Amino acid sequence: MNHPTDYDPKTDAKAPHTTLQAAFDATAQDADQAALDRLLRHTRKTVAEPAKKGLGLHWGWIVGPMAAAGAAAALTLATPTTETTDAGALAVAVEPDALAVEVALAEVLADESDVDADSNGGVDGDAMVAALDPSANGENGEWFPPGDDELGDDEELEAWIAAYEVVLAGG
Amino acid sequence: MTHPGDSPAHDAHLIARAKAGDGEAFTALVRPLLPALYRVAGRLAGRAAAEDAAQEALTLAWQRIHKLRPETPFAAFLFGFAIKRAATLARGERRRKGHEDRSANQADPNRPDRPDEVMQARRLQAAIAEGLAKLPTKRRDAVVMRLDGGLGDRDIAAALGSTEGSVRVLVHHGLATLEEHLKSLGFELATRGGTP
Repeated sequence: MNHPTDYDPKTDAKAPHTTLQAAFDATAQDADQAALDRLLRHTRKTVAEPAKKGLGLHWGWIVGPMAAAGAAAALTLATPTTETTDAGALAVAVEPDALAVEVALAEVLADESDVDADSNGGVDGDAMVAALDPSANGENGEWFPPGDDELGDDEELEAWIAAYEVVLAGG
Repeated sequence: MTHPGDSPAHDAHLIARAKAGDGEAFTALVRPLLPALYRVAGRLAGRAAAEDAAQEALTLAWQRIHKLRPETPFAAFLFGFAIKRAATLARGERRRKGHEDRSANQADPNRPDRPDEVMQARRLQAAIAEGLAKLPTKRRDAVVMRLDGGLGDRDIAAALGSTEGSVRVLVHHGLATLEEHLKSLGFELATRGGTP
């Protein structure tokens, strides 16, 4: 690949970084054909599902679980769009038999920096947990799986979030 | 084969169809971008998570295609998801493995099979990973989208939510810092703007 990769602030000339580019090319994680085929199959499988116009699947952060068996809960999530780094509040609906949680995001949304710890424009789960309800779990917003006294790790949190996938209603 | 970005009118037509729920149109939009998407995901998330990051980016792009603004290039839209998902997966990977070097044991069957060349390639891969990790996030993402993704200033700006002018500066400084880092580790690089 050859790219006009250089910006020279003095001359505004564009010189190809052939050596650095070559270094990247030599160390790139190139997908083999099998991986590309899998990505295509995944894409075809994804688009085969009914398009949810105006809706989307995204993570559900469940913070500080509170007992409410049988009760539906409303979550308000903050998630950035790709066009901006501003957080947009989205209302989600949780399955009635899921754990009900109470999340107050108005304060969080007022200050995005609390939930974008590495300033990449994305909302960070850990920072979200810490910002929303640091007292609900351990110190510094650690997450404990429901009914478990041991500190959960990211895998457990991700698995639990995946198990309670929520559908964005509006946004 | 038409490449997204090569023909804005063609892209606009496919995007309109995709927004209407046409999966084939969406597939046509993403297919030419898959190799670059995988490269960017791999660089930022590591080999083990590259496919996951790419798949998640594709899923999110389809599910949020209705949010794609007319002025946003499709490649920027897709890569915007990829860099965020890759960053999230990379963070999870680091926590699980305690900052283990992601480039370790990532031998590529397409790479030279001479031991010394393999070692050199691994050293270079590790050095690049180390150098990228030291860059501020936006600078790192801009460099990777440029060198691995082949994206131009406009697409990178849209993906980062930045301006083209800012992207030029991000890339300029990112490349300079990366070059210095590689040189400090003994890798020889051509002088920027000069003859190799």
